[in-house]
Amino acid sequence: MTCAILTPERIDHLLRGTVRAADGRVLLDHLSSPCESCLDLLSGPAGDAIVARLGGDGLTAPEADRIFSAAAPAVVPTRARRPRIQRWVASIALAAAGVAIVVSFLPKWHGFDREDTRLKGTPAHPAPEARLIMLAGKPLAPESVRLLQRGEKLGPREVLLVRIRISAPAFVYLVGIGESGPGLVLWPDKAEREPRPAGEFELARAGDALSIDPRALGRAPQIALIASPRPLEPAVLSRLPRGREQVAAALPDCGVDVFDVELQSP
Amino acid sequence: MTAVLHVAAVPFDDAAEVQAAKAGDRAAFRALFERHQRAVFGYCMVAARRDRDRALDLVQETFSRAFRALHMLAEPERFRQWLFTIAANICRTGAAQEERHDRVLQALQFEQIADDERPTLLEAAERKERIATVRRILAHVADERLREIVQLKYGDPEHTTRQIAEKLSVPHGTVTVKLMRFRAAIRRELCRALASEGAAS
Repeated sequence: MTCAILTPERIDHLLRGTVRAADGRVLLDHLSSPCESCLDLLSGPAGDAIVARLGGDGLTAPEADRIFSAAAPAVVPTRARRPRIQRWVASIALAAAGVAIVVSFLPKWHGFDREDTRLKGTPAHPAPEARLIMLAGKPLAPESVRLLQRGEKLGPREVLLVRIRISAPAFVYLVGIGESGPGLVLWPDKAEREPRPAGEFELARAGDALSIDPRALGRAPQIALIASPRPLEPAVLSRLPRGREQVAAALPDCGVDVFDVELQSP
Repeated sequence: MTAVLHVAAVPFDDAAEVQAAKAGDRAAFRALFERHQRAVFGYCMVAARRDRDRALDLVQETFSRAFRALHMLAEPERFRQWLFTIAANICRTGAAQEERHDRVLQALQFEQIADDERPTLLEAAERKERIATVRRILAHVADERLREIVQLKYGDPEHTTRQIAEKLSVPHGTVTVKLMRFRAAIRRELCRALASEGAAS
């Protein structure tokens, strides 16, 4: 059910502060009375994105770096960083996965540099290494989040949350690939102007983990991560073949990881 | 089709990063900053009436204060709520705000923290203000059951969803679904407050 007054276009104008006075009056009048259709709209993705859209394109990478540097150094004691593995444990705990899950994942961590996970690239300019770490969880239930091992099935009501690790600064893209049809660019929503710094991060919007329901991709969905030293056109991404080796061959200067999502029957 | 894929968001649990940051881990500070900077920036942009430079100052001040006072945060899992309280205090006391604009900020702050299931420890004035915000939102909600549930959730005393389910003899799922609907109502109130500003401009 859609509301004829509170439309996505008008919400966009409200969030950008570009609503015309006449439109503002119409909206004000409508929003001062109950309307279930408005709530339908705002319960969905349009509502989830509201806060993120208030800030337009958000901070640029240099702005974020400058603000973080100004806010953090005065309070961070000089102390050696924790070992890498401990930081990883903290990251998983962050996603509310249990300690048992982390322990079961440790061998995978140590295997990151094994030959079977290395990415293709020229020796002179090796592609950044890229790794997808998938979590599964039920919407609005952070306690349900668990690490999703490759080959493990995604439950009927679960969605995917994505954590990414890249070894060098890169433009990061996440593409959903179904059994047929073009690839769907899941991330970013808008072209990013700066490469992401090396390290680990989760895909998030306005402080919430971005969740993906791979069922919308059709049968045998795959999620491909591409870490590119240069910006890539959406048209290139939507034409990606299936399979890690095939994607890596199509983008030889990029780091690639592909996750085959196994869906549990409802 | 992208919209189909982005289903309801799953809130992060910040507790582990907060504990690590308290121990001096710079990467944990950075993780907290990266996770929340976009929402804080959106809030500050509204508070600063789209003045980007001013908004950047407000974001910096918010994170500076939060990081300086992190050791005082007793409930690490509530970092996000606490951060937005700091942002609200900075943005709303920075300048005398019009009442209309103040309501935009109240609705926006509430939208950010409405997911919290646990009862909050609010000062009397804060509680009074939040009850007023809830009343204002409920004035535009027709669903009686939703009104009843929300009044128990955010009233004085606050109730957990399980307590509400027990008290009203309804399934727990009904309570959580109604509260998700209330979150949409908060967003609607935010739109109303923004429309009020737009109509006046």
